[in-house]
Amino acid sequence: MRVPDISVEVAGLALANPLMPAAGPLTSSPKAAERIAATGVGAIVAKTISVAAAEVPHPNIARLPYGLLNCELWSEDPPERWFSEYLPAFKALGRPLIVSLGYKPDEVRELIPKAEPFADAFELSTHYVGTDPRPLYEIAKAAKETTEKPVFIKLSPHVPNIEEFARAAEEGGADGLVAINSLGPGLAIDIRRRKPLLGGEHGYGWLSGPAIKPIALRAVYDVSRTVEIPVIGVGGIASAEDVVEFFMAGASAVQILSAAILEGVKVFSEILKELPNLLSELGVESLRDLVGVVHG
Amino acid sequence: MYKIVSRRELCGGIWEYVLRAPLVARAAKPGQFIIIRLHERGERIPLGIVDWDPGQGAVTVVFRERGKTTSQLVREYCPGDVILDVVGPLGNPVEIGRPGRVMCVGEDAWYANLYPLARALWEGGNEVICLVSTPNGSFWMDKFSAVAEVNLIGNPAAALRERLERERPALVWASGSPAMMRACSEICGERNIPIRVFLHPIMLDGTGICGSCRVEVGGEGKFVCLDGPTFDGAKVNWEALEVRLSAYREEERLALVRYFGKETG
Repeated sequence: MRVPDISVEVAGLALANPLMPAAGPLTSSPKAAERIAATGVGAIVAKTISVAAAEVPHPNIARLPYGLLNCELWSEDPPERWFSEYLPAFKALGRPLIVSLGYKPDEVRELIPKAEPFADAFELSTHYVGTDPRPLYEIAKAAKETTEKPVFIKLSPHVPNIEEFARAAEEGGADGLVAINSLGPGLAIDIRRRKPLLGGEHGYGWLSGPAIKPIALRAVYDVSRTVEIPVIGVGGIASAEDVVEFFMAGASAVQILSAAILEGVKVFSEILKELPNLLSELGVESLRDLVGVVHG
Repeated sequence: MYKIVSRRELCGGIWEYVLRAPLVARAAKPGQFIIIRLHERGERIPLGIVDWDPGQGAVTVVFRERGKTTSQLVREYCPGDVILDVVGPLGNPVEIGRPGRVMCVGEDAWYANLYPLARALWEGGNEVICLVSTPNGSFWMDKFSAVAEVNLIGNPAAALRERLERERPALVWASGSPAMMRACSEICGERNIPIRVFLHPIMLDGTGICGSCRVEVGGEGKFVCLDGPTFDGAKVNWEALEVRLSAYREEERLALVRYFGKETG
């Protein structure tokens, strides 16, 4: 049997492999992104840019026995630096570049044209966690009125009916979805200091890593059965087996963050090495053949 | 008199202080430290110079609030206040060179020592992987990630052992408690990987006169202030270091009791 094919195609983006870093500290600067690119990932997702630099509480990330708890926001660097310095350097890494932007329709209308020369696609985050899916429709629509490049909408796992949110994004013109964002807010307490572990007003943090994988898988499963557009899976992926699980649930590509912080960025190159072997073992010729196989 | 420019609690009990000390900021190199004294009757304590800005004339130190002096610093010294003495840069700068792939392991406030080292290694064209850990959260992840791959680990020795199964660095650096640096040195020793460590014994003058910081390295007596503060971890007599570090434990406890007016945790 030939070496299995791990290349994928997501919303018109042809990727040499399905791995990308999730938006966050792995890609907070060109130097950091360069280390990720060197592992062989199929695409780069830059840390989320908003209309102003974030002021992040301290501490903002803690290791827990089952993952990470973080209250990181978007990039702490001003958007001007991203457009003049960082994004050109990201582009020069020679990988498909997904630029992550937040968080409201007017803000993405303002940011997209500035990032357009460097982006191969956009990923949009919203702070929104209510029950009305309309804001997702609106942000997708605002983005698609501003750019012809693929637009992905990142979904939160907290909503009562994630399928409705997925459908709203699709109706707004989104070319794909990213599921899921970190789970929370949660809380961890430093018992010796009688204070929350993380900084910020209440010490809230958002959970990522192995603990949220089953929830992420379920969300990818539900969403990918509902919409026609592709889904990028994210949440607790740390091995080639995890990647295959997400594909079987309906993902067309995957993002990784926590595992790279907990175990090292080598996780990307290790998965890339292992994935073809695993596919051979499973008798699969192409990773694409696995998308949504458990939908039945 | 040295003014405190800014301070912030980086994570539970770990503090960053930026001090105005232009001459130190101009001369500082990775691996070096300062000795501070808060006031006329203050104890002298060594603190690693973990960042510096010659333009602003500022040096940064990071420490955990632990004994009487660090408690007094955190409770009574705010931005705008002055501390009596800042002496430095003391100790020998680290020779960076081109080792290639370097793994830096650090725990608690001590992991800040790895930052200037990682930055210099990275600027020298080396590949740097930092494994860092605190019992409660993390700090400077953004600063570290600009110059190194940074992993938030659990137990440092266990994490180092696991990483060394997967990849082989040319050199390991460790900065943490003596027990942690000893464990890391043993793990590297089993694999014939060279390891350098940051020692932080009791120190007084920092110029080799008092002898308080004497350690045994490779069977020879060394002064951490003059010969260090970094040494070959495989050659350090860790037992002797731990005995010295605990020599004044009762006096240290009493100083804390006197300061707080009661027994503390």
